Amino acid sequence: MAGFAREVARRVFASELRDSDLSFRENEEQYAPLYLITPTGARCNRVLLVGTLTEKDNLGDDVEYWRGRIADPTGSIFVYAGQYQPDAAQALAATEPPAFVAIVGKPSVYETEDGKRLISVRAESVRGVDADTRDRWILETAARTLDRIEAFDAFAAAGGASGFSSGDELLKKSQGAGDVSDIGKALLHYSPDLERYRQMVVKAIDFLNGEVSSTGSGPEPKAETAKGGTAAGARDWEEVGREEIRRLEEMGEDRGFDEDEGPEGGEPIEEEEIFFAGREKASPRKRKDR
Amino acid sequence: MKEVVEQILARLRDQKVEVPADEVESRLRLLVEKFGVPEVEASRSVVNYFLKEHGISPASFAARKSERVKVGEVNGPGRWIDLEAKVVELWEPASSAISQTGLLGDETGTIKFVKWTKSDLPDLAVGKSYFFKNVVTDEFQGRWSVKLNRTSGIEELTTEVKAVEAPVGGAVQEMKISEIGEVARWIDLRAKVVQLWEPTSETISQTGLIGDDSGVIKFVKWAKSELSDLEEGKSYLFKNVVTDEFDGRFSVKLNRTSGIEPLEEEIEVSPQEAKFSGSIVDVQKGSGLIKRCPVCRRMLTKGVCGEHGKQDGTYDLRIKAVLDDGVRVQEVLINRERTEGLVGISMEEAKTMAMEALDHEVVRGKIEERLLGRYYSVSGPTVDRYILVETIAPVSPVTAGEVAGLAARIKEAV
Repeated sequence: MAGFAREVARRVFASELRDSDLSFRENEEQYAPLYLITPTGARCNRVLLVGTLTEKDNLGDDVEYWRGRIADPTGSIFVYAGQYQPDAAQALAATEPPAFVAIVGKPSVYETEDGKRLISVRAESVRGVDADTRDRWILETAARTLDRIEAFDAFAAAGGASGFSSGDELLKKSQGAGDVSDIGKALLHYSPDLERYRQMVVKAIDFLNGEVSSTGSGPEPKAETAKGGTAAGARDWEEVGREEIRRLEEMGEDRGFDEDEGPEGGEPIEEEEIFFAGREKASPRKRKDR
Repeated sequence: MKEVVEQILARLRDQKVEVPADEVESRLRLLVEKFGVPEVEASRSVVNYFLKEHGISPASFAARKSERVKVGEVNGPGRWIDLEAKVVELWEPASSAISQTGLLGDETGTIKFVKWTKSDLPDLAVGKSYFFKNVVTDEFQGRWSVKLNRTSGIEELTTEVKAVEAPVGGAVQEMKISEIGEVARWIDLRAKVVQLWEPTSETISQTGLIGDDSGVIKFVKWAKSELSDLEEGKSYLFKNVVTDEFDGRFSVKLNRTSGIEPLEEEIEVSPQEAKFSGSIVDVQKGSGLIKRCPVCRRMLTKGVCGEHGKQDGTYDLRIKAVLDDGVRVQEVLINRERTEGLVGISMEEAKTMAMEALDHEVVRGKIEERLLGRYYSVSGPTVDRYILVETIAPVSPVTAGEVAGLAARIKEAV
């Protein structure tokens, strides 16, 4: 199995994922992995999302096809699981929102008939987690995003791929940041406003500031909270989850989140088809009547 | 919306910041309507934005005060300090985001500084001494530095600050690899090159693992160091290398001031210990309750051993999982004893569960339920691509310090 390496699950906030629509394969082979390049240059074949499941729906007719909306401090994104992800679909079906969940999945881009490119995540697994895990993910995702923004900025300031006068700056960031060629692709495709993504990270950090100050953990925070969710712990994060939902509802989130999404949830089903058409020839052509 | 704007303006006024209401509203609308940010978040973000615009740190950091320190006392990133120091060297900035960079010194040492273009601070001259107010410490490649940003101040001093020479070849101590416990220490090591890896950048001439009888550590030899090449399996005296850290793992860097001397004796290397922290993104097939071949201990697939054919087999409980930190993946194997402790299921209970469900997979499912998505730190020896887990513990909850560290970092980004 030499040469096969599992794809890293990238850390990208919902808001940045939602802005992403550049996907490519490295070569023409049938099983060449599909990558999504985000505006700050993350190359994602797989992502890890930890956030609040704010709603879930079964969109399928005969076969269950579940859609969930996952919110983080920056925004939200749809996650899908159908008959080809039975474990994930089952877990999504069994989870009552609001709840903190961890999603491992593959980003996929679907192009509508009028040329809009919509992004969602096809779940490989869905699992309930606690607030500590969610906070850890936000911190980590903020740090990785900042890595990418800094590398991107250095790249842009140096005027392109050949312009790194000092490899140090690039190297320092290379651990979590995109490859130079990925940054180049992102720059060409998105011309991103880095300040906007910096603000996104600020938002996430602001959120965490609220978390660490409100939990009132003393100077020596105890590590023993991850013990399978005690009753008190479970209540805590359920409440936090509800609080989040309430805020989302209060501000009439449809306007914010859905302006670029189709009127109904039917379209992503076709996206599923498109995906499997390339991989599994015998994929049943399932179409939702509209 | 109007109410929130009023609240924001009031909070800003508390900090003596006057901003036109329409600017506040348009920023709030941008965040709430365009970015879909929860209003509470958006409002906080707007306040912080204008405070920052006016050079005031957000409330959460208002408590911090810069303290007067000597260069030699700088010992951690993210500290706000005042310094009296002389500009020892000025270097060519690598990015247009930097207006000036170089070396500051006093009688206790020297330190790199970076003055951001955005800071709008006056230019510094080599050889002149200044009072640097409210600058923030940072760390890069195991060395401390200070950053001068918008909230910093510079005053030229009439008296000269005496600066020491750069500490090249200073007091360097020979250490064992396992004794390395802090960054930016200049040390000597007697070690063997265990592995050489493909460098990920042209600025690295060689990278890999070196080891001694106490452990192994990653090394990076910069191309700029112009040191001769190391050979895998050979032992060397590494002189004047500097320690560094990333994600809780230490490494050593070989630069221009470092030296390499081949050793005649061979250094014994202890078994390779590895550590990894990340989220468990997969609990793989072959986890949970399994049966092993009684002859070779290999896992049976449908009661068949690849080597020894059909076997009755003996039960075992284990986890094959993948940890992922967003940058790398690490596969881990967790044995029966540690699996039982970690998920709180004994092998007898696992057998009962499997019997009742008529399916061994149910145990793997339970394990996945407990672990997936959660963050753990593991350590243990490595075999092939696996860490054989000896210790595994949940990663501690996020601390205020971690958040503040990241907040300090983002303030100067871009």
